[in-house]
Amino acid sequence: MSECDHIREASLYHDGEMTREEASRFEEHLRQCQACRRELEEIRRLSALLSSIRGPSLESDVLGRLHRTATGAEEGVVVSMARRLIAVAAAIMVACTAWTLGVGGRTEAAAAGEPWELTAVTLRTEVSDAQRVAQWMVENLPSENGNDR
Amino acid sequence: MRPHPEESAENGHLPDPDTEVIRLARDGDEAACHALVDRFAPELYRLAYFLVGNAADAEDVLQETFSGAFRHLGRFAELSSVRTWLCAILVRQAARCRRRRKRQMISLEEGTGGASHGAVLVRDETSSADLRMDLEAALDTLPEDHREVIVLRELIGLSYEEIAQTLDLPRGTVESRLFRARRTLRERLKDYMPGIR
Repeated sequence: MSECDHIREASLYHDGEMTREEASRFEEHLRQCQACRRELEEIRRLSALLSSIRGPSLESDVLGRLHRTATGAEEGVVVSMARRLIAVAAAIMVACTAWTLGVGGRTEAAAAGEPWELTAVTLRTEVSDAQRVAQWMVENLPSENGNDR
Repeated sequence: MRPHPEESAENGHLPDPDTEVIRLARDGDEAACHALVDRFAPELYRLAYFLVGNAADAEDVLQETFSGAFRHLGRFAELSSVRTWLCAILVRQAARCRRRRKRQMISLEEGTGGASHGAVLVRDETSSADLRMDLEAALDTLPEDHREVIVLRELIGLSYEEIAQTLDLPRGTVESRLFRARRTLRERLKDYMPGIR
């Protein structure tokens, strides 16, 4: 059985979403249409059922948190935490950068003639020269000093 | 009863008193900020609860709603009421919360070899009334767009126009969704309404 064409108007009537003229016309229709009367009755009963549900009440501590949010206190905490995190992240980045330059950048730095790396090259050269001198002394000094082998 | 167009014209547009509170809050008036919380938090919590289905998520949604609202007070364009503006923020936050919960449930089901099927509502421990639980279960089975409309109308009491503004929908869509949502709920809750077809 097909429904009455006006069946959806029962919702509008129940919700007070009709103008006075529309409501009068629908009331006239209701007197003749059992399906719409029934539809309206069921909407009313459902609505009464739903409005009897209260739901939980808002706890005072939740309200307190909302007030702190409103005045920016919560944001202050977040900002403070964010600042600390940024500081830690910055420290880690500095350490990583220093480590990268110390290991990976050594050969590049030497090629580029970085002062600290030149010093290290010089020191390494000096060590090599000292080793050669020591070796020469071991090999040549005894004979030059007239010592027998 | 919806006011007749001529009646509206006679009365003109009354200024929303809450809008003035928003202006004060925007200027950093702490009392105005507190007034907004006190005025809207209980109703918004109720809305959040019936949209997400449990108290813990509802509190999170409420907190996110007010955080967002206070961060973006400047964006309130005064084209709708403060109530509608806040409801719109909350509905979006609730939808995000439900999507998050759905992902968690899918992940949980995958972890347990898909042992659980269908909607599982994590119930509020304090909820003991059968009617409320059955209503929550019935709401949970509604499509999200129908659930939003029925909660905004029946549990919060917004007009069709306010619902349309809140959900950014044409009024006709609100009407049709409300009609279908009521039909579904009547069927699901018929045990509480003897004589229903």
